[in-house]
Order: sequence, then structure tokens, then C-alpha cells
Amino acid sequence: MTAIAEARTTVRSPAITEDTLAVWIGLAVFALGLISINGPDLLGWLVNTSVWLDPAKALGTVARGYSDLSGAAALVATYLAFLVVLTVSAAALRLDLKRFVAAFTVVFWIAYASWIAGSYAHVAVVTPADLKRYGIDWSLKLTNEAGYVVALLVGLVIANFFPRLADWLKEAIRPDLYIKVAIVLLGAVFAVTAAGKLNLASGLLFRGVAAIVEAYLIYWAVVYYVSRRWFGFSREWAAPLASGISICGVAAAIATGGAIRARPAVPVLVSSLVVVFAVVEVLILPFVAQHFLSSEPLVAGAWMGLAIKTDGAAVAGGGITEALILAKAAEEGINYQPGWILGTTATVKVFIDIFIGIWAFILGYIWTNHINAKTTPERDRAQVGEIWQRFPKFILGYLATFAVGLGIALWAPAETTAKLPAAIGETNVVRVIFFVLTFFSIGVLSNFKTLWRQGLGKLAAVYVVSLFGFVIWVGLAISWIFFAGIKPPLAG
Amino acid sequence: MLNNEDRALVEELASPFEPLLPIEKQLIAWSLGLGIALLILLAALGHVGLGQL
Repeated sequence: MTAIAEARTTVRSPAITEDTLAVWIGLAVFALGLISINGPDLLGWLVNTSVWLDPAKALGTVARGYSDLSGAAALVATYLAFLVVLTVSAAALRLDLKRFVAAFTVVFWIAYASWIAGSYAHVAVVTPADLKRYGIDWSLKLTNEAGYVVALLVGLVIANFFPRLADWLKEAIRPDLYIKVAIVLLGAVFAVTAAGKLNLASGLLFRGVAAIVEAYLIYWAVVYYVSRRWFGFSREWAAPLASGISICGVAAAIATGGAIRARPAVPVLVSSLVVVFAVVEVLILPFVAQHFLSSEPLVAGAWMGLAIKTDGAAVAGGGITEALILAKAAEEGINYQPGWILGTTATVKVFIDIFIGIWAFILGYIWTNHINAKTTPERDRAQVGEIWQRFPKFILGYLATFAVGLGIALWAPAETTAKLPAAIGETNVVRVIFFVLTFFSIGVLSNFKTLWRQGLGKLAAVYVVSLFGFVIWVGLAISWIFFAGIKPPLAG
Repeated sequence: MLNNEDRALVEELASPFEPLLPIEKQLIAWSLGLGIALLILLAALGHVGLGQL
């Protein structure tokens, strides 16, 4: 199957969308986590990976209350829980269940093995104190979140050197579903982080508005102009391409394509490019950010949200950036509180996503009432109802977990508030596993060779010119203007 | 490899340039103008501390 055909499968319409499913899965996990505050610990048996030298000590359970369960048993139990939940989801999505179960099993074990590999002490240990503690004299100092990069690289190897395996896995390669569940859960994690520093959190939200302006009004207009005037694209191609490069990748390209009544294959072809370039960005930008922006952590976080397209890749890039910058700061004796850099990336991305439906409606209105007015029948003109139809529902999940988490942190009795971080910490373990699945899936979808063979050079050229000549640098400048000088609080 | 439909779509990319219509020029100009103006406004509001609780 070609990358184009693969991408095309993502636009079929099942009984329920991955977007809505992600909200329900995320909210269900969040609810299970909250129950542990005043009831039984329902998630404490999930597997947790520690930095290790001896593989036998790598795995354990999240909660001490389940320490009787061995690490291996916790991993198998975690796999089974994910398998059950996602197989039910696959049934709702009308996927081939036998293929899904087999493929997901392989996806889960490869992805989690990558995560364990990333926690190897020579890869993950950061501070001199930890080097001493583990009795080692060198480390790549990538933190245990190096597991994300390992998962991505393994996925890329499979996509580019074992295409038959990549094709066989495709039923369980669902980066959109995985990252959206993770983002819903991230809302609660960010709420707990933000509760201690409301001034800073509100400042971040305010600055997130700048991201909306930049993505929709600045990026889009410039990329549309470049693709129309410099590269001679038709309107039907230029609009989805501009949305794909400017806003949030695949979802925006498909929403715009639908809104302007483009042929379905046009945004799908654009999407295949978006995924590949997003992978390139994830592999490069976090390391650039660590090198040049470690003194401005939130600029780096916002930059990931503005520069990397597709929700999965952007939030994943924010996760790697946070790990790398916290590691570098820790080496210098500065211990920033975790969560702020990733929270900034997610906030920027969520803010951008909120307006996809409105932007698609505006474009649809212009296209069907002005540009293609003569060829568009009255019944096919843009309708206001499309705004809700194209609204990414997982954002509601993110806002819900953020609001409930923040509400509990600020207004619940002290006894409840004290237990909240541990409860959300357990849901965060689920979030991390969905992150790893996302990284691996993005890698498996990125067959560079196939893309070049398909003759999409001109599309790729617009992408390269716009992304590396404009989007990345303007994103950096705007991130600097709005986030420079704002530092995450120190841990403890 | 591409199927026939996809190949036809890709070949379209080499089709002659469609001139920008006035409505497209307006869309680009308004987007950029409004975007730059809003960014300046937001930067100014942030500078005076309006983004803090």
C-alpha cells in the first residue's frame, strides 16, 4: 500500500470517529485515576519503567500498594488492559479485529521495548549525582524520555526497510487516536502543574492566543501566496497545502479540503507530505532547541507547538524538548519543575486546533460563494453547522480534564488536594504509553523512499521553502517575543 | 507506486498558473494585515502585564 493509500484510509467515516473515541478513553482513564483519591487504587498496578543498569530492575508498578506484582506481570497486565480497551475501540471504528489484535500486540511490545531501551542508564542518566549513584562514568544524558526517540527511529526503520511489516501493522498504526487520548490526559497533568503557579499558567494561556493569530492569519496567507504565485498551484491544491503547513497538518489539510469542496485525494496527498516533514522536524528541532534555547525553556516549548505540524508530532516534540532542556539545566544545577515546557507546547497546539472549524468555514464560505460560486449548487454551499462538525472534539476532553483537575487542586479539601498529584501521576503513566505508541506509529507511517518515488517533488518543494524558509523562523521569532524571559518554576 | 487517479492529480501540479482573483488578494492582504496588527496588540498587552491574573 502506498503512503497515499495509507493516508486515504484515515478519511473513511466509521460509526464513531477516532477524535470522539479519544475523548471517551481519556475521560475514562482520568475518572479511574480520580477514584483513587477517596477509594480503591484502580490504576496502581500499571507498569512503570525506571532508569536501569540491571534489566531485572527496569520494571515495577506505579503504586507501592501493588509492589507484590512483579514488573513483568505489571507489563503483561498493562498490555492486556490496553489491548482490551483499544480492541473495543477498533470494533467501534469497524476495523478488522483479528488483524488489529495481532498488529497491536506487535506495536505495543516494540513500542514499550523502545521505551525500556531509552531508560538504560547510559542513555538516560543526567546529573553527576545520578552517574555516581548508578556507578557509571558516562551517559548520553537524554533522560528516560529518549525512549520516544528510540520508538520513532524503530518505526522509521520498519517503514523504510521492512515495508511489508509496516503494511501488516497498519491496522494498529493510529497516531491520531493515540495522541488525542494522550492530550486529553495531559489536560489534568497540566492542571496539577499549573495550580501551583496560576499567574504563570494564565500568562501562558494569554500568550497562546498569539499562536492562533500567527498560524491562521500570518502563516496561512504567506504559504498560500507562495504556493499560488511562486509555484503556480491551483486554488484547489494551494488551500489545503497552506492549511497543512500552517495550522496543524493532516487535520487542517483535510478540513480545508472538505470545506472548499476539493477532491478528497488532494488533502490526502498533502497529508502524506505533512507526516514525513513532521518526523524530520521532531528529529531535529528539539535538539536545536536544547542547544540554543536551554536558557529560554518556554520559548522552546512554544516553538515546538508553532513549528512542528500535526498534533502528535508537535506534542511529542514538546516532550522531547522538555526532557532535553531539563537535562541540560540539571547538569548546570538548575532543576526546573517538569511539565511547563510540554504544557506550553500542548497549550499552543490546542489553541491552534480550536479554530480549525471556524477557519475551514471561512475558507468554505469564500470558495463556495465567491471563487466557485458559478459551479457550486446552492445546497452545497458552506453551512455554519460545519464549524461544529469540523471542531476537534478531543479539545473538549483536554479542557474538561484541565478544568476538573484545576478545580480539585484549588478548591477541594486539603486531604483530597494532597492526593491529587499521585492520582494524576497514575493517569500520566497511561499518557506516556500513548505517547510511545504515537512516536512508533508516526515512524511507521513515514516511508521517505515511497514519497520521493511518487513524484510529489513540487509539493515537497513548497513545503521545504515554506517550512524551513519561513514557518520555523517566524515561529521562533513569535515564540521569543511572547515567551522570552518567562521561566518555569524551580522544582521543590 | 501511484494509481492512475493519483498520477493524474500529481500531473495537475504542472498545470498552467491560475491568476490570483481579487478575492484571493483580499483574503491574503486582510489575513496578513489583521495578523500583524493583532500580534502587535497582543505583544503590547502582554508587555503591560495583562496576561497575568
